[in-house]
Amino acid sequence: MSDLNNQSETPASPSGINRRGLLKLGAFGGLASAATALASTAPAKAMATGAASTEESNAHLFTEHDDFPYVVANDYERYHQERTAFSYFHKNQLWVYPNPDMTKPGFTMEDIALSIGAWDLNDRLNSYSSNSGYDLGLYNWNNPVAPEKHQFASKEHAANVIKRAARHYGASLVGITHQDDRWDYASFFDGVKNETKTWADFPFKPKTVIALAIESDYEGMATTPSLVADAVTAEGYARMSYVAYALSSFLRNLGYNAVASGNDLGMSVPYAIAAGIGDSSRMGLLVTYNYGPRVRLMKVYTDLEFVEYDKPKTFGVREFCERCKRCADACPSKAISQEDKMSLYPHEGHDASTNNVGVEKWWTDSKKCLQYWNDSNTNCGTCITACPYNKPDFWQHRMIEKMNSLMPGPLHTFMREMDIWFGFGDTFDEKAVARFWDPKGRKYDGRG
Amino acid sequence: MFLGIFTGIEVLFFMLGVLTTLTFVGLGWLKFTHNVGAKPLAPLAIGLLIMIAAIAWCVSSVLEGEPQAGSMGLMVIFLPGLVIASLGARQVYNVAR
Ligand code: SF4
Ligand code: SF4
Repeated sequence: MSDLNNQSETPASPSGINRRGLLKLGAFGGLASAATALASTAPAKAMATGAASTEESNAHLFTEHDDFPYVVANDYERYHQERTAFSYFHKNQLWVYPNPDMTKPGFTMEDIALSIGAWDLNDRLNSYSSNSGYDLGLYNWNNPVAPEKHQFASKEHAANVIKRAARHYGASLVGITHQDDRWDYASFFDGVKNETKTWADFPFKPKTVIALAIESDYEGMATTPSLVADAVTAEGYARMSYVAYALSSFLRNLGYNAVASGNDLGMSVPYAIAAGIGDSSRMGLLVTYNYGPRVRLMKVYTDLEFVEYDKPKTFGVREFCERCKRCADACPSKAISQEDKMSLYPHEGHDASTNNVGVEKWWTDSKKCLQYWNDSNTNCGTCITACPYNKPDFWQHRMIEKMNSLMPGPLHTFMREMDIWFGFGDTFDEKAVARFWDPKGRKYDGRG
Repeated sequence: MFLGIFTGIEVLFFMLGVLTTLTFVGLGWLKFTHNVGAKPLAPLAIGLLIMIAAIAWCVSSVLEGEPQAGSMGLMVIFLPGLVIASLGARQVYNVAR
């Protein structure tokens, strides 16, 4: 999938024009029946409380860093939005989709409509901003700002207020970091209008970037690659924009310039790492502690400076990825590196034309990835589903996660194998589509 | 579930609490009324606690919609617990008899 440089993270809609418009082992006797009876409560309701409740007791699992936790080369050159694989596909008119086989689970008329509904919502809110452009929809640059700047009691108070507001608007994770030229696009590119702008055209000089993440639906993402998973992606894109927009409006009402940003303006993954909400991974996406890679990222650029900044925090993803490689094995287009270690520069033979070179990472081939999106008529996301960090928010996964963070490297291989044996991370799983639509255990009328 | 008040996971952990309490009461009863020493009691206690942990794992896996993880939990957590508890129970039986 997209890498540490370009785009935000999860597969984006490859076309601004709504392309969708075209279109476990089971027997365990008494225990199982008892469990099934308990399961009649909707899983979501059974889940434990969110991130905040575990924050304190998890502190020892994280390593805080004063600087960006991955090496950046001295000769690093800023990345241009025009170099993203999305721009490449736009410019070369490579978005060509075969008609889906509508008899296949995940590609039926109902699945298609589910996906279109979500993309339609996103397109109405943000036009084609998911894969190209800037200053579009809720990500627009010019909004009124209150004339008087609110004075916060302290930097800590400012950070707390901003984070609480972000949670209120729907963010799952929030971090605050300094604006960093390295992670901002040197220039912005609109592939539809064929227009380029730079930061000189931006209405103010940002000082701070608030990195935000929203969780994507686990059950929907279990269906990758399918149009059900596409609907999750698209709905996420819509939510990204209104959460970020609401937070930017909150800041503007306090007298500070603020602009919401999705995949535009800068690279979301390094900003999210810098803001301490997740870690870099083999697949190039942000891996978060609570939701793994099953998040969508967005940001708010502001000129507010009087705020307490977060530090990057790592929790052993790099070490786990060195031995895991499940995403690389599962990737249908072989777009994810199988190299054991991260490297500062791409290995020989890798097409790095869309990569942000000079940052330590595993190298992904975004062109291959997007070509598979074309071929499969989906936004894929198989790598996210396969990742052992992608788990529902249940106590036993938090326990395993803690064990993984504390265990030495060789045991990670064992944990990866156990994850497979226990039936997690199945991809191309047609039963997952049936589970997504299954009415059993769900009550929609307020009785459950 | 349960009068529409408790979620599955809440009921599960309540039941686990009951099971754990019964386990400790039972172990105490063996120790104080039958004078069973710590050495034969230890494997029984460990086995029972592993089985309780396995029940927690398996039922939680079903609750989150991952039955394969539940059945694997039965095999790799519950069964070893059962074996250890059985060995412990034999020793306890020999002492208490
Ligand atoms: S699995 Fe491969 S093709 Fe699919 S989104 Fe991930 S990187 Fe792209
Ligand atoms: S699947 Fe494994 S290698 Fe890939 S990102 Fe997740 S943990 Fe890392």
